[in-house]
Amino acid sequence: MTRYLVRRLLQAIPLLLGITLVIFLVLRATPGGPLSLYDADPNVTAEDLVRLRHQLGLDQPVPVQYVRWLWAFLHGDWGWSIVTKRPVLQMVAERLPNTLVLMGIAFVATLALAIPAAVLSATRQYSLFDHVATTLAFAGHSLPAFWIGLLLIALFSVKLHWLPAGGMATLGAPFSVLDRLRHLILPVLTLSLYDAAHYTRYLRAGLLDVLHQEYVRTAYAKGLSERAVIQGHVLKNAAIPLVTVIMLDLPQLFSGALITETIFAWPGMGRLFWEAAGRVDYPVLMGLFTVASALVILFNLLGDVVYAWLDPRIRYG
Amino acid sequence: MARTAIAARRLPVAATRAARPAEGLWRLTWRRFCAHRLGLAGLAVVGSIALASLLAPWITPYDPNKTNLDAMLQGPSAAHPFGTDELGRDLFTRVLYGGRVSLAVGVLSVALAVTIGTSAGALAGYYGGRLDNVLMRVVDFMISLPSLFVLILLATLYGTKPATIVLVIGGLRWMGTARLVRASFLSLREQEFVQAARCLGASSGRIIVRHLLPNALGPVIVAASLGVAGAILAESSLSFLGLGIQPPMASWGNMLRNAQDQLLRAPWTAFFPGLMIFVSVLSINYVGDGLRDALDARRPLSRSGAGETG
Repeated sequence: MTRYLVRRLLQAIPLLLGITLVIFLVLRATPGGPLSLYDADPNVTAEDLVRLRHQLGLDQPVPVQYVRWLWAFLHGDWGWSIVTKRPVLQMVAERLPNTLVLMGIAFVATLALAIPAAVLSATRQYSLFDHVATTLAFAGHSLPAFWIGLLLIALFSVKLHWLPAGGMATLGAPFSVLDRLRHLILPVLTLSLYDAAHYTRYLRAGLLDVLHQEYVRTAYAKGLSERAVIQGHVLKNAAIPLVTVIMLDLPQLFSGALITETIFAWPGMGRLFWEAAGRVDYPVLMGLFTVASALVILFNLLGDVVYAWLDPRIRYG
Repeated sequence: MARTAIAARRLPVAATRAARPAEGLWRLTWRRFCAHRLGLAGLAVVGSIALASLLAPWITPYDPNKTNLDAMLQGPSAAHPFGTDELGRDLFTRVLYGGRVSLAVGVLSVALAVTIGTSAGALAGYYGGRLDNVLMRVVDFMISLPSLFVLILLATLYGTKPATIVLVIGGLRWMGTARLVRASFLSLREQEFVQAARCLGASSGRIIVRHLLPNALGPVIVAASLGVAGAILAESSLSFLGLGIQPPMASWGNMLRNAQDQLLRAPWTAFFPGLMIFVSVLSINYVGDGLRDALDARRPLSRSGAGETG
């Protein structure tokens, strides 16, 4: 198991480096270059531009620039934001936990919705519950997240005043877990509905496959309760295709988080990315991209661990 | 092509079938698709939406971009079935014209993605070896990128003209098709009809295009139709964030963006465009589902061991 993990880790590092290199090149290759935001500024003379280029190392050949960036990055120097003049590392560190909290809770909510729904659906196939659940799952899979987010705000915040419309906590109020939870409800709901629908369908299909296997029939014949059969035999095996789908979907989790953060004014990484992209704030963009890609790769590794735990054949294969 | 390979062997099927000529692949698929009611309904719905969008000038008298500050933010009424937006423009008209943009971008970007993906998958699957390795590394790399991040980056850097959006969305969605085609090719490559074609002197290109591709198309079609749904969602997301189709050109996504400020006073400005996205995507998903069932390899036809992938 350790050897498998080490091998996957060693494969992940070149991938991460490759991603950072490609993004670096894309950013450098833009029309105008990193200093184009000074083009319209009358106070910036040509000499200033030359001096800035030298200062920022932009007059060096591109591979050198990349290596310098990488070296600095690995030493914790992520540069300064062109827009806010604050250290990028600090900006990202402020926002990252908020995004992780949102994504983490949404992930738990997604599974909490999908697993029971799929299990009930599959064990009572063709029942009313099954039909309703599959239709809802299909519909949920087609819902645009931003639409449902806006509608939820319109209903629960604007019309009914039950839940806050955005932000992470009430401004100026002392810290309160209840307050935080209230602010979490709508964003988590928006973020998890689409994925819950998606996973319910996959898990249901996987469960149906497994439920018709003979070893399951044997388990029932032995006299095991339904609960024991499901938990002991069925879920682990049915989870394998689901884990594959979750792993493949992980990069998209950030995309979903980005939209949700924008709608609900959630102070997270996604929104920071969007703001930085709007102003083409290169250092922030590089930092965020690297962090996001590193997280994706990390989650994929975690997914592999779960995969290997679920299916012993993989560990020794 | 598959048809010649199959029609050439007169299989001892039930006598009733001998009375009819051998049914072509597409005719059969269409028949099976029609048996799938939801798929048919989906096709009807999305078809009507597309038709209505195309015929918009004949359906509504309003100009989608003409502002009319006397008629701001009116609720749905007889004159304005979907209400008006904050600049007095009729929402129904804008929804129809926006449908043109959203649907066109969706279909075109998937067309691009399928073209790239099929070519890459075909080459990787047929030639194998180093080419396969390299192409699959590229696919793995692109799958690891958080796609909305990349979309935003590219849209910011390279502009937001509709053509750019199509290129960008299409360029990020080809990997699934590539994997599907590659898998099909890997299994089909060793079938007898391919060996027969080679013996007859067919070039690699001819084998790929005339023999392998038609058999590999089944899952690709399903993936493509589902991909249109995803592409519509992607374009709407981009426009919603302000980086897709720019106003005043209407697109369902950027209409939702404008609606954010009006949620208190005019929730219908958010409801209807989003509803159109939802209904279109839902219908297309049903169509894709129907196609998947229609093209399923586990057919009752006795195409024994022909190796068709459904």
